Parts: sequence; C-alpha cells; structure tokens
Amino acid sequence: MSNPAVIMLTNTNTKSGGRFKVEDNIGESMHIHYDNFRIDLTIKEFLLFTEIIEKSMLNLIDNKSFNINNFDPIFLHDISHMLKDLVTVKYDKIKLSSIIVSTNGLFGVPKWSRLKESRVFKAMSGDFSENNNYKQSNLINQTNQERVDNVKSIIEQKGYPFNDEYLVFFNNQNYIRDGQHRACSLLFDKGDLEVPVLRLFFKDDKYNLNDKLWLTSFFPIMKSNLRNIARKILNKIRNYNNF
Amino acid sequence: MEYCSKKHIINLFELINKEQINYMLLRNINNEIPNKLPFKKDIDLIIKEEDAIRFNDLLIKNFWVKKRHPLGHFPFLYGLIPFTFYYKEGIYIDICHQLACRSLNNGEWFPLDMKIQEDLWKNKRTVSNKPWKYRLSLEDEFISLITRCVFDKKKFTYGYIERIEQLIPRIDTKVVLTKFEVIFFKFSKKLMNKIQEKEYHTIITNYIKFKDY
Repeated sequence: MSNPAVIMLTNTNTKSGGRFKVEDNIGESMHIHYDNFRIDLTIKEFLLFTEIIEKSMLNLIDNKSFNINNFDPIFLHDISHMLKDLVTVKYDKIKLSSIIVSTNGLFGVPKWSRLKESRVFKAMSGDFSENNNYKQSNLINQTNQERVDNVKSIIEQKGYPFNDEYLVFFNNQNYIRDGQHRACSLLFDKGDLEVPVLRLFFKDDKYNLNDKLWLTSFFPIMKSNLRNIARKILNKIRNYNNF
Repeated sequence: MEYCSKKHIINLFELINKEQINYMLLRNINNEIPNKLPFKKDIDLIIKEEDAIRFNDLLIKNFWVKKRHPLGHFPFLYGLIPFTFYYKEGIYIDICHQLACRSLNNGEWFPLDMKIQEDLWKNKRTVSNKPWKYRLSLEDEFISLITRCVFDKKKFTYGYIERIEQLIPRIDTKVVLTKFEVIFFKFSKKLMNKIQEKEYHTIITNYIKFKDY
C-alpha cells in the first residue's frame, strides 16, 4: 500500500501535456514521475540530481548576473518559466515603506497596499485574521502564524540578507515578488530602513504587474465567488435529498 | 461537562453483541466510555466489511440516524470504504471497516497496509466485564494510536500518550516494528526508540525531516 507520508514537492504539467511530479515518500524513497515513467532515488541521489539540475539551469540561463544561491528554491521553481526572458539581475536599494504588496480590498478583492498594511505586518502587530485566513503553501505542518513567527525570529537572530537570499522585485516595479515575510520583519523590528534587494529585469518589461489590481480582479473574483455560492447551494440541496 | 448516557451506550453494545456483529472498539482514550463520554463525542468502532449492511440495518431499525461524517469530505483513496456516522440520543458512533490514516499531503484518507488489515481480525481480542466484547490486539491498538497521532492529529495528546505508555510494556515490539515498516518504512526503528524514550514532542518534526533513506 502507498506511503501516507508523501510530500508533493512539485506537481506540474510538461509542455507536451504530460505530468511531472516530484514526491518525497518519507522513509522510503524520492519519486520523480515524468509522464508514465517513475524514477526512484535515495535522498543522497536526489540531492546529487538537484545539483546537476542547478548546473544545467545555469547553463541554460547563461547569464553571469544570475546567482542561483540568491533565491529561495521554491520561488525559483515558481518563476522558472520566466527565466528564459531574463536580461539581467541587478542589486538595488529600496526603502521598506515604498514596497507594495497585495492585500484584501473591498469585497475581498485584492488591491495594492504599502507593506504596513500587509496581512503579515498586521499579524506581527497582533491582528491575525487576514493572515490566518490567507491560503498559502508553508512548510509541512506549519501554520501561517508559525511561518510569521519563524521568519521574524530568523531575521532577529541572523539579520538580513540571511543565506544570501534577498527580497526580489521585477523590472522597475516595487511590487514585492519574494520576501514579504522578511520585509515585514525588518519593518517591524527596525523601522523604515533602506535595504539591499535584487531586481530581475526581463525582456520588454515582461511580467510587470497591472497597477490597477482591484479593478482588474473584481469581475473574475466576483464570478468565482458566485460560482462557489451556487455550488454550495446545490450541494446542500443534494445532501438534503440524500437524507 | 455533560456526558452521554451510560445506559444508552450499554444498550448500543448489547444490541450489536446480541446480533453477533463482527466488530471491535477502536479506542477508549481516558477511559471515557461508558461513564464519562462527553456529549457529542463519538465512539469509534471498526466493523468487518461483510457485516456492514447487517449493522446498518440493525441500527436504522433501532432508530439510529445516519449523519454526514465530519471529516468525510476528504477523499478516500486506494479503495478505502468511506466512514459512516450514526447518531441517537446524544451518542455518535463513527464506523470504519479498515484501519486508516490521513495522508500528510492533502489529508486524504488512506487504508493502512493490507497485511495490517488482515491481521486485525485474526488478532481480535475478547474482553470481559465491559459493555463491549471485542477490542484490537494490543499491538494493533498501539499502531492505530501512533498512526492517529502522527497522521490524523499531528500531535501526541495527553490521553493518547497515557494509553501508549500503558501498552508499551505489554506489546511485542518485534511484531509492532514489522508492521511499522509498511507505514513508516526506514523511520520505524527511530520512531520506536523515540516512543520508548518518551520523546513524543520531537516525533513529528523528526519524521518530516528524516533523511536516512
């Protein structure tokens, strides 16, 4: 029978429409599923494999300004499809107060806000509701609040940048792409500092975000909310009929 | 605190004993059953699959009401038969047909390995002086409690620790380790050591971070 402790490290589709999954079957083996193939590896083999993949990735990107160690591996995974358009990576400095994040706006539709209004900063200040209700991937068994506390304690003890990993921005925009927890910890502990960050510049300002987040998100979110409400009503009717 | 009626609990077991339903009481944490089962807390029973329909008919005939299981919305994988939940006079019973646990990934329900399921019924333990007549073997109960703490509850609570410690001196460790190996694989020995050393608070973190495989 299957291992109940399977941690899905990635689950995505290949360009040809096949599947690509990497699973950690704790105590048993690492599995890499590629279409109909499954490769079983020990942890040692898997780590060696990731080193080779990192080297291949650097060869493919072929950009001397890009240092793989500057990025959180999960973030790197999320932006991997963008790296083909990368032009350069530059160090920059930014005041924490000029960082922009997405927060809950009117009707729960996201809007752009300053770091002080972010769900993470609010959680650090004792207002936990928005952060606790936010859906995000954390470490296994880690709650949103535990993640806030954990990052805050790392920044307090080890400072910033820790492990050579920086807050990340794209092009000339100030929308934070990675490091919201770290930025909030710095703002909470040290006030409005100017901090070193990394900017990834893409071809033709590709991957820039729309400045009018609330307006562009309103209709898709309302549509999805209405669909959910309709589904819930239907389920209730179905369950009522079953009893 | 309001408790379920002892009389009603005894009636339930009398009913299923009389009808010779093949069942076992899964656990009785803090010895709550039958005297101190808090109101709305359930009794966990495992019923042999072959007796599922007879058991259901018996309960319905005796005015038990089938309810939606509180955790039944998570997917049931690998042929696991979904749990059923019944209610009557303040008592809930939670019925399963296989020992199961929730996956660490998305909380889906998984049956434990086939070997464990087969042994379960062979090792069924008859008890006396209790309203219920059958319980899991000590080893199977131990395994069931550990998997429940690690996968379902994701913590070791006082009542579970107390029962685990009552079981440790009475179980055959070799039998447990063999069964652990189809659940926890290479973590099994480390897990057993941690339980024996009473390091309950480090088990889950150590399990997730385990790398020796």
